[in-house]
Amino acid sequence: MNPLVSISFEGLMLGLSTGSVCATTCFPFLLPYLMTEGKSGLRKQAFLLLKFFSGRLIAYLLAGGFAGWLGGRFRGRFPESFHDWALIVLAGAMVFFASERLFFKKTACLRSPKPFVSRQFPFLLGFLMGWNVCPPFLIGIDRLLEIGNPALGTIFFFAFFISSSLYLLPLFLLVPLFSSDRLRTVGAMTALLVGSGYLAKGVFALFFSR
Amino acid sequence: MPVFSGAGGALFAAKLAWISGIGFASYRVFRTGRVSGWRSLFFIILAWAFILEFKATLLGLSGSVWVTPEIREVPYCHIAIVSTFLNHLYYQYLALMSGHWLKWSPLAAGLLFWLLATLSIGQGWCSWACFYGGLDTTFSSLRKEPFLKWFHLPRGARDFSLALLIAVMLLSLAKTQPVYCLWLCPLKISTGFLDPDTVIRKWQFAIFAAAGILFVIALPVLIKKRTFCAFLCPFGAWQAIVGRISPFRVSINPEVCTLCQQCLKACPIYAIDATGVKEHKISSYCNRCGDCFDACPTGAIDYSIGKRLSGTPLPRILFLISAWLIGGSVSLLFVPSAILKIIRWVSSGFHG
Repeated sequence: MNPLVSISFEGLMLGLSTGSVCATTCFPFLLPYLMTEGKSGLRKQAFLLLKFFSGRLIAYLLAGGFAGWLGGRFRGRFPESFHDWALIVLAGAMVFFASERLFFKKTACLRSPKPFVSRQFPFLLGFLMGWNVCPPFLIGIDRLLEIGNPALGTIFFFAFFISSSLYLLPLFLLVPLFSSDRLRTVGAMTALLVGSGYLAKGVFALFFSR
Repeated sequence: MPVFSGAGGALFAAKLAWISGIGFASYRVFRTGRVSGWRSLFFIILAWAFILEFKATLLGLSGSVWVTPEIREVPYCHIAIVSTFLNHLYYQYLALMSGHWLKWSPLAAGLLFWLLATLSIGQGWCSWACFYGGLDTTFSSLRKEPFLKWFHLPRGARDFSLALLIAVMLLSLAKTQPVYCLWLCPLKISTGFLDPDTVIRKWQFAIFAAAGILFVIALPVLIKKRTFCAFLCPFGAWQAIVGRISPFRVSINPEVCTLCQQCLKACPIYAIDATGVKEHKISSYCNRCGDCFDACPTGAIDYSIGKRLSGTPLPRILFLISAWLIGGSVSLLFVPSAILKIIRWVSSGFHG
């Protein structure tokens, strides 16, 4: 079989067979975010979806390319602490986002336009979540380190992105339910709790358990 | 009499005595019209009997009369089931996808009873049948007046328990572990399931102790509110959502209410806020405990079917019968046995 077709098929199958695990890893970040930022209009929802999946796609393409390159050059592995750093950055962003929504929303910047970081947060969330290591992601990385080809790595992760995204899409159907201010506040508090939990986990794993 | 002889007979006698006690308490409630005093007493006994019966190892009584082999099997409680609800659903999904059916395990065991309890008393579970709620009720009942008069919460703070419920459900799903039980529950006594890593275990213990001291003891004593139930219990938030399937509510009669806010001050779980008093609305976090009825100087608050008071005592009678039945059934599982153990302990001269 053509290696291009073969590697695409592998990526697709990996995403389809392990997508539910991907979803369980991503839901704790995605659901509180959607509760907090849920937009009622279809157009606004579509933008949110597009930004999030763009960020996730770019992260996957970079990860695939990098793993392929790393495998080709060194037959090496991702540094052991990579997972912890990725988790700390993602959880930190989540804590920042939730704190901003909960504590600073109605202060000095009440009338100012949304800051750039806030507007692009769906993209940032998708990008950071894309870099976060879950079991299917690790299986993919391991396979690419073995293949050792950046181009094939990128294709593999593109296919993986397509199939695993199918499991995340249903969550966006819930967005219209999160239209009240009360639920937005609950969403922000949930995001703060989840972010703090993962931040503590990442810091602990990085500095105390080795 | 032969029926009361032997170990089984003694337990039977204890059960009869306990049922008679419940009967007397419910009679007093119907007779006096005051709910909170007798309910609180029943609720406090329920919680401490549970501690004695199932969790005596906490007291360092291992090997004594308190600890029998069966109590080492600490039940998978309702708080744990709710906080791992998504995990149960996920396992069923995996079972379906793999072509095999898994057992519904603890979810199935409690599902029917939970449905019955929720349909009949809704959120009332948290004030009539939960074998943990009596702990912070005990400490919040120690003083007549609170040290700190924290009657009002910052906007949105009452929904913290809902946020906690969603967070622990999602984290438990992602980690495939009961995250709430491992990290936050201030009521866990069995520690066999805690993390084997020594450092992590120490942290889990530290959080467990801190949450217990703060939310179950210190804050209830200081502010006379059930702070664990109000802020740290995911099951309370769960019942606030699904408990709506029960027809019973607590309602304020706008024609009689004088807006004095005594109900707001008396409510142990912050289910009534200042806006609610003005609009004569009680939030879905209401536990149906009856404390506000007794605090209301004009008798404007009562149980209702639907959102409006009917003006008849029927909703109150129906709710109270259901509540005593559900709470009484739960209590029968362990209160008589705990009573027997206390009697044996006392009769042995406080030995064993």
